[in-house]
Amino acid sequence: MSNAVQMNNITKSFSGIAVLNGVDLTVAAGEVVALMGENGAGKSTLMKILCGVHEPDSGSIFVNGKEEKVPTPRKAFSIGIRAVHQELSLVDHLTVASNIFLGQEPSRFGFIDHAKMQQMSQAILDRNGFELDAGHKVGDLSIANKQLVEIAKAIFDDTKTLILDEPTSALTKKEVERLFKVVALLKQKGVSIVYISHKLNEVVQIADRVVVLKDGQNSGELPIENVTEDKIVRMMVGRDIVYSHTGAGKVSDESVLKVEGVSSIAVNDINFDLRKGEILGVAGLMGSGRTELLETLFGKRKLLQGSVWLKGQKINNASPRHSIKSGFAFATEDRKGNGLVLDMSVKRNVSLPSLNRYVKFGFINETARTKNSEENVRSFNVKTSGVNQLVRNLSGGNQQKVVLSKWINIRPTIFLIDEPTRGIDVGAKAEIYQLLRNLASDGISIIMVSSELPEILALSDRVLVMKGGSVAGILDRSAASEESVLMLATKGENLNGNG
Amino acid sequence: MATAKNRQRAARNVFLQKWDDLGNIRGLIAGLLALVILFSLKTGFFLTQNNLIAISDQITTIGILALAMTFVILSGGIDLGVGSVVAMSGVLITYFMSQGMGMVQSILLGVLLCTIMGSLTGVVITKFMLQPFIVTLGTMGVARGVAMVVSNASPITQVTDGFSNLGSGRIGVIPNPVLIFVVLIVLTVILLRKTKFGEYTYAIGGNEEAARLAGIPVNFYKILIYTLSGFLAGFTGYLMASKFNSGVPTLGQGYELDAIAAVVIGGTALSGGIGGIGGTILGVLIMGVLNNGLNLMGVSAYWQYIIKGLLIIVAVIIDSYTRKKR
Repeated sequence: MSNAVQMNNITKSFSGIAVLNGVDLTVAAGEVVALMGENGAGKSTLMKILCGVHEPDSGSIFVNGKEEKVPTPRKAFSIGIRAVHQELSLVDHLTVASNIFLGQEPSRFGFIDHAKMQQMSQAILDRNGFELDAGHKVGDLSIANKQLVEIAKAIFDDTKTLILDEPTSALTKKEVERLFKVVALLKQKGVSIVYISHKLNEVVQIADRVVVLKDGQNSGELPIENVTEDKIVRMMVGRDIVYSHTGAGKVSDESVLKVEGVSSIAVNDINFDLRKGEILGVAGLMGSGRTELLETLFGKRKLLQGSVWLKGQKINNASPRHSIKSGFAFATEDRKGNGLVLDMSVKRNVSLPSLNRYVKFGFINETARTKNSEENVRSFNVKTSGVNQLVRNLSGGNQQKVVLSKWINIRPTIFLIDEPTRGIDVGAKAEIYQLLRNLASDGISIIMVSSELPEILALSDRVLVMKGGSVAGILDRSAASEESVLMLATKGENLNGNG
Repeated sequence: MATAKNRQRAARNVFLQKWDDLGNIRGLIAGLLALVILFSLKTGFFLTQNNLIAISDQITTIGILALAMTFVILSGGIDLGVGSVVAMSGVLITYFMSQGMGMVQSILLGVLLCTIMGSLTGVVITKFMLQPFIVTLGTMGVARGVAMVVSNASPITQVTDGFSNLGSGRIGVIPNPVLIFVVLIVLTVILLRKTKFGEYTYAIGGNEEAARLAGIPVNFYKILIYTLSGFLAGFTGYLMASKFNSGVPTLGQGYELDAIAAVVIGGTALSGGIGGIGGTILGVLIMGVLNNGLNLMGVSAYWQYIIKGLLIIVAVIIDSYTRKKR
């Protein structure tokens, strides 16, 4: 029997950094393979190669025993490979139906047959129990519904291999169960499925086999009967503990920040306070307003109501500029998008918010600036050929260290950090955790958003859980566990709005 | 003996290092040298002092505009208005003089009005969050229109005595505009590389959102950049009016495109954030040398359009290719 999909010895690098290094993957017809691994292990890249988004540097792909080159998504479609990517790739201005059929619209006499498209889309939605109107504009849908449209896009009649890349991140429990029914149905029809997920409980429910990647290589695989959390974690990280509880720092009793009834377009009536040297973790599902909370505090979003008090003084963070002046720093979740200027050097990036310090009589004092950035590079252990190296050429972990040093240079009182270790390998993660701990013990107060619960639990002195733009609850370190946080994040209604 | 050799080797290494640091500019230098060699072999006249001075004189106008355009493009913007502003400036200055205003006052007021026009362009772009392309397409029309209306569409020749001194005078054998161009090169290089203004220009063009989040008053600096562009276009207009001893409303058509071409040939990315004055100077020189050399060789003007058009495309292809390889 030939495998439905067989990928052999796949390698891929991006700008000189190896992301995949000789990875193999096979999926039989009607099999559900769970692909697991840390962020940055190469799961998504491997799948993007299979569905034609990226081309591999070397290696071969066999589909039903026949070697195939898959240079474009269109080619992948034509051989029955479809994917639901982690990032939504929908056109907001088009209807659900137009999105589902994007690029393969049914046509009559050369014109798009809208009626037929509408009818076929509705059939796909109904058959899978997705309660959506095919005529709706996608831009008006909630994130969860958008994710359902993404899934509907991928389950055509001719789909032979389906890739699901963390499809449940924005779904409620009910919707997840519906998705699992769809997966079971497809499996019965002989569709091969690759399911990428961090959530072991989901994986155990639907997968036949688990394949684990680590640092761009196969790290092991197990039939689902033999899977235990310990075994998977060990394969994922290659050692037993990543999230070592570094021990709560000595948080002083001195309160530095008081947030009272803060609302913006995305968050509603937020109340909490923060002590000196404290790390406050902010958890919540995707779309719960975690990032938006930080953006509101930093003045990137307009504050509509409420007040923020820093050391007893009411402050007005009307813009990032004001916020920085009042002692806030904000490391965003999107390093490349808005954290760094990739085509500028390490030196110029780390001095960007603090440039005024080096300016004398209108001129930049390069000697002082070079000296300071060399110190930054040393103390944050940035692996770079020098401070004049372009940030573009650094690895994710080192780029993140550049982001952190850049903000430490303004000597912030409050450090807002969104996803401190997204897309970073395990080794660098541990370093970043240590750095954050050190900053906290130096007296900097940190508000840290993360979608990785173990990270939140390991670092935070307290955990603030968001749901639907509001605070669902704040847990002390002793009370915070994966269960208690998730409970608040998913069923926070009863606890909500009593503040 | 050994130390002499070592010193020689060290000197060579320093040279190689410096050469390496030039990065993308190396191709431009090689290209310029190739053109110079080609034209020297093909025409005996090319490498004469007179011709070299003529080339320098020809490139100053586009050269000064390209200096300002480098800032604009580095910041991720574009300014299509500069050619028309050159005309507007000359017309305004000569008009003021023809109405009896003093020469110095006329010059200052004319250049000031162009500078204000640049500031307003920046204000409109930032406050209404509009594409610089469209807004400056607008200012291009407005400035040309002002030049036409004020001059009644014909050159103003009634100027104060001595008005042409700066633009047509020489120091030694070197025309004044060439010297002014050299001074402006030095000033803009300092501005771009040694000051906050330059640093932020790169940051805004490289990643505007990151710059804003780093607390940089992005809008303020963008307005400054268009102000600089308006000022230098106005100044160029004065220089040309002085050279021709008149205000010509039809002057400067297509200058904006030549300036943009020089900047782009010089390796500055239209998307902003990458490039510099050094490349721009080389771009200006390559265009100037090509112009002059082709004329000397008797190549028809129509063919010159084709050759220059292809040059822009080839330069951008080479630039994009070397960047990808990096």
